[in-house]
Amino acid sequence: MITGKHLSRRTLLRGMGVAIALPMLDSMLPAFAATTKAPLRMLFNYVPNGIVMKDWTPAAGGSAFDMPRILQPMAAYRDKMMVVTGLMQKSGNANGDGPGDHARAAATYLTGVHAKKTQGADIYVGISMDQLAAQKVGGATRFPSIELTCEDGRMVGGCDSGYSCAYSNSISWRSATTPNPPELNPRAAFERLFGASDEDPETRKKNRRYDRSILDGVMEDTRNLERTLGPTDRHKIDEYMSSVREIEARIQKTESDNKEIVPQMDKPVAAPADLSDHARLMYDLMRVAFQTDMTRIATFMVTREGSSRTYREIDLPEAHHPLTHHQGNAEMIEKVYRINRYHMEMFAEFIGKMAKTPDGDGSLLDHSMIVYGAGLADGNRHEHVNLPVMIAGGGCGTIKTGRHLELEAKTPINNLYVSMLDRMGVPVESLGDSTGALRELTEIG
Amino acid sequence: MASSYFALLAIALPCLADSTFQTAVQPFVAKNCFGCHNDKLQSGGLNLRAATDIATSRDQWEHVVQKLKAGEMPPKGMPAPAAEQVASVTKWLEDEFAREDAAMKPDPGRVTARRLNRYEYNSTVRDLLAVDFRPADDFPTDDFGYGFDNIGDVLTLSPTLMEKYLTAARKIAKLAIEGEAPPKMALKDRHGNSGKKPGEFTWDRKFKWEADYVIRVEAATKYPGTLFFSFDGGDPQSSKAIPGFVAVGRVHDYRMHLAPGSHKMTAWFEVSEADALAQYQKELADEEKRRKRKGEPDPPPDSIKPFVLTKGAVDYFEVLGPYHPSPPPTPDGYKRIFVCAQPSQSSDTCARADLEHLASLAWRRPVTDAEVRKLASYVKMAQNDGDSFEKAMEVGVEAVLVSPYFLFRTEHDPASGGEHRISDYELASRLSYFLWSSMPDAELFRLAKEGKLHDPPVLAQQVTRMMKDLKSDALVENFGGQWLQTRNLDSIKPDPDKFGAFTPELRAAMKKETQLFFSYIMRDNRSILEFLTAKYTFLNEPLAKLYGIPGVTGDQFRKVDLTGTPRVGVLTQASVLTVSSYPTRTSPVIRGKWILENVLNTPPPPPPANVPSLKEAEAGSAMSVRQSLEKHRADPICAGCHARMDPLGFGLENFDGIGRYRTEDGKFPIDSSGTLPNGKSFKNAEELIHILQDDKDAFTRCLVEKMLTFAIGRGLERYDRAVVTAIAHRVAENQYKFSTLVTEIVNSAPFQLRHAEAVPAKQLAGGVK
Repeated sequence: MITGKHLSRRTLLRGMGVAIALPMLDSMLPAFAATTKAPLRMLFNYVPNGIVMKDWTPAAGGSAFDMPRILQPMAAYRDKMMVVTGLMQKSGNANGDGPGDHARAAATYLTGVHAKKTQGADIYVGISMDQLAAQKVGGATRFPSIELTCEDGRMVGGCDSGYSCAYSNSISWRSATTPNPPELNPRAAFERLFGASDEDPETRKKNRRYDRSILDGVMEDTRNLERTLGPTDRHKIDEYMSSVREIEARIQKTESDNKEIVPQMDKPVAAPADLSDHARLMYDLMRVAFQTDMTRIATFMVTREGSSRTYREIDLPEAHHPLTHHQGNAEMIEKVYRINRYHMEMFAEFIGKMAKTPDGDGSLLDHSMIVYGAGLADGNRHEHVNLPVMIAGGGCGTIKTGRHLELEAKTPINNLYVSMLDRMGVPVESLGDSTGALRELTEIG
Repeated sequence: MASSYFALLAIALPCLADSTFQTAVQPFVAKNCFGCHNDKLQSGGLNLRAATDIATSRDQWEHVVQKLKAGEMPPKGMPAPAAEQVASVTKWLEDEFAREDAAMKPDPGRVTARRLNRYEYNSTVRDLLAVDFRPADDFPTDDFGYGFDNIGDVLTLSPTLMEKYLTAARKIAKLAIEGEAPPKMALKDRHGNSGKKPGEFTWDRKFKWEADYVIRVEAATKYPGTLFFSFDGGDPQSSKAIPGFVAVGRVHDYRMHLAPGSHKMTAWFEVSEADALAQYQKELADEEKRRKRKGEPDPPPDSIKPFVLTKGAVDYFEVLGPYHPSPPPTPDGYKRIFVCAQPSQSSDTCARADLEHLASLAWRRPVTDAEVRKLASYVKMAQNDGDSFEKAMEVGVEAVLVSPYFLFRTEHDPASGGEHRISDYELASRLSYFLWSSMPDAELFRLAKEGKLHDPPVLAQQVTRMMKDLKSDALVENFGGQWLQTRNLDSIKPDPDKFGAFTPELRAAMKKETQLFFSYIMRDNRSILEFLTAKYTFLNEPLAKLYGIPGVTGDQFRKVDLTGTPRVGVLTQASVLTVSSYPTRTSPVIRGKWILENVLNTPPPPPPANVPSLKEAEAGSAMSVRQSLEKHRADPICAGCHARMDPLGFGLENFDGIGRYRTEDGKFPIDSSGTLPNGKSFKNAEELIHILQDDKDAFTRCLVEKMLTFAIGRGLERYDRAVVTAIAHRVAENQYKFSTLVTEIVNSAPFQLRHAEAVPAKQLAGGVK
């Protein structure tokens, strides 16, 4: 059907929902910014289709909090984590756009901006907070950020109610119009980070130099090409240019730090069919990437938002998404719980490894902020309020873990992001609908 | 005549002016529609209170007309307006639409610079450099819009992808010039017989190098017999299995020297009945002896297992090698890159000649001297580093492949903006990526160079030639696979407990059936209506078994007559029926939606906000799927769309979640009858499809819109309607021939013209060097 819905074409990048603060004085910078200390890492672990909230939310608040069934696998790390309740992502609401909560859940999760409802020509949301950090402080590492997933997003026929699949396939957005598609193949992710092992260091060095010359030349051609293009085509070529620039920067970085990094993991062969095997590889990759300081920022979509994956691994032949529309059917809720729990078991294994990986004066976990969460609370009702949020890791001593932080209902989740960005050395005054920083992360709230 | 025509107009105009939206439509909608389609409820995503004129809310009002004419609105259970009222309102609206369309300026639109998608990248490097290791399979998934993954606006480029372009370009250049060196150590490659079925087991394997190989075959058998092994269809060599082993494998090695290429291995195991019986009797006798020796009592006679002849099977093939490989032959890519005719000349001149040749193919246009000089400078750089000329050329090739001119298909706009015909080179690319999902070939380039390609007879000839070329299989796979959504078969996972028959082989067979069916209609230039009405299809034995059609043996596909079966056209093919089902069961809603989207071209609006999706899940336990859906439809809010979707799906209920015919679903008998909102009713799938095929115009328009979207790589706009109507009209005139569909799309304004965006003068000025 011809809908002709996008008569007004994309214009140039507008405001990104973010207001950057003036640089802070040195004395205001947190202690961990000192170069001798271990750097702070940030990771978002996204699960789709919401969570069975009754099996997630602790009944008790504060440090005496209980661990409901879904959180149980994390029991061993109870004092290294914090459950936060009361957060919402208001931009996920329809605001007159009708259905499409799954697409909005993922698209708004880290961007905090309402996504433009479109199938294609004028995708528009906002830069995501991980990319804001990557663009500001990602230069310190070879890779500003990495994005991973365990589910291929290749399904023909539309994703969610008139929204482009780009929205449900990515939580990370480089700009308002360019998603950062997550990598599915652990081997490819490994080779990107650590190089193909069939090249010797000399060859690799030479290739890097050639690549840099070629990219230099290509940039020049591209600038010439751009001058002759209309705004829409220009925008496409801009994406190309900014990608080339990022790679050039990485090559320069690699050439200047001049060290060969040998990761403490074997090169994966391919994407395993079993989700826990696949996720284990992806978690290992992120852990090793943090450990070797190849990057400090990662986003991981366990599966895509709206995922209809089936879970043979736990004897569940039904597809995830339809199950979450359980309408109160206890049998179906139990099945959704099992998926939620399964995801958590994989995550807990990762947290265990993070806790055992030494890093500076502590463990990698001590020097991380790892957010486990979803863009929907209850998948049956498509709620964007009271989102499930768990933070693991001490944030270099800036996060007081081992408690259940109960916030006032409908506190913007963007407040949490403002606080996290601040800790990453990217102070922002506001982010989307944020009303301030989440001071309770450090203080007892 | 002319004067009376004007006279008529003169009378008609004041009348038209008299009846305004406010008088002709508003009172009707206020009375019949506002109850649900208001600011608050917005049923079906539609708020008619806000749609106060035609110009700004055209989509909504077209939707209203569609619903009113189909009798779907107001829904059953709500007061119905008088038929004359409905007719008068719809007529007024349709007249307004026509008036608006007539006043609309034709516009070919503009396609945004298109990045090669994964499929296009693979086939382009294959056609350019004879490298077919499918480098793009490692690239991130391409997003798609409007149902296809070749839409310029949606294809984005991230640093991850850019990095992959770099790595892939280096690898391609190396492979094209050096070929793939044999591994230093022999490798082991195993191919297991997952089914472990008795009978033949085959493996078609590509051997990359000329070398010695060991082919190992293992049989699993309870009884002695003979293992047969045939290579490339040659005489089976047999190896008598050693009698006496029970249920353990027996490995046989065959050594051979092979040339590169595909070789087919076949093996089977035959149990000898006499030997088997002898072994069985010997085992009984041994057992008796053992008992005697130990003084155990004889077991009761009925506890002794009788002799059953079990057949053996081949367990796996294993290829070990290569041993003593010959050096790889000069790759085809080498010959394509090093075209310089004067090898005695300095390598600088040759480098430039080679790179000019390669870049003009890769960038799909003539290249400038400056561009060639820059490419050659990379080669010089590597040579200065000590690389040989050939090795240094790899850097030049890499530079060609990471250039935006290779990765994107950009089309040049004149600085003045406005509409213009695209260049012949651009047309060659549009054609080749539409029909082949790959770069233009030598003939298209030649015609573009001569400036003849846009010439209508030449163009028509080329389209015919390209359709005949096997490369147009890409159209089947990319257009067909996405239009019919059968691509989703790759990722769909039916519940093995319920659908144990769904093996990887069956999955592949389902996909293949629809591909063969599509390419038959395409290559045989048949009527596109046969997509719905064909009483034939293409089956192999596994699929024929699933369909319950006897007499089809072997893995080879063949055309099968469907007369006397309940199947007809693509709607009853297992591929379509499977991708429109849940993993555990059928969904009439999904199937109904599939038909509305892909056959009738009237996709239902998304479900209204906050209305929970229906309890289909309860189906099968307390009530049938059908009953639960009917309950759901009792709600007028849901009825609007479900009255249209559900009956279509019911019609296909005789086919289960993987397309098997059935008459019962668990304990409930299947009722595949239904009544469409327009009052037409049917008893089963075949009758339903008869009703669908009656609306030839809807289906034709649907296919035109889908294919036009795929061909030009953008979503369709309102100004494209006239083009769609014209193409559909021509297709109908030409007996709905497939070739007319393709030719008319190629001849259309959106395919051949382009509406340029004005380039800001400042930007241009900066470009002058």
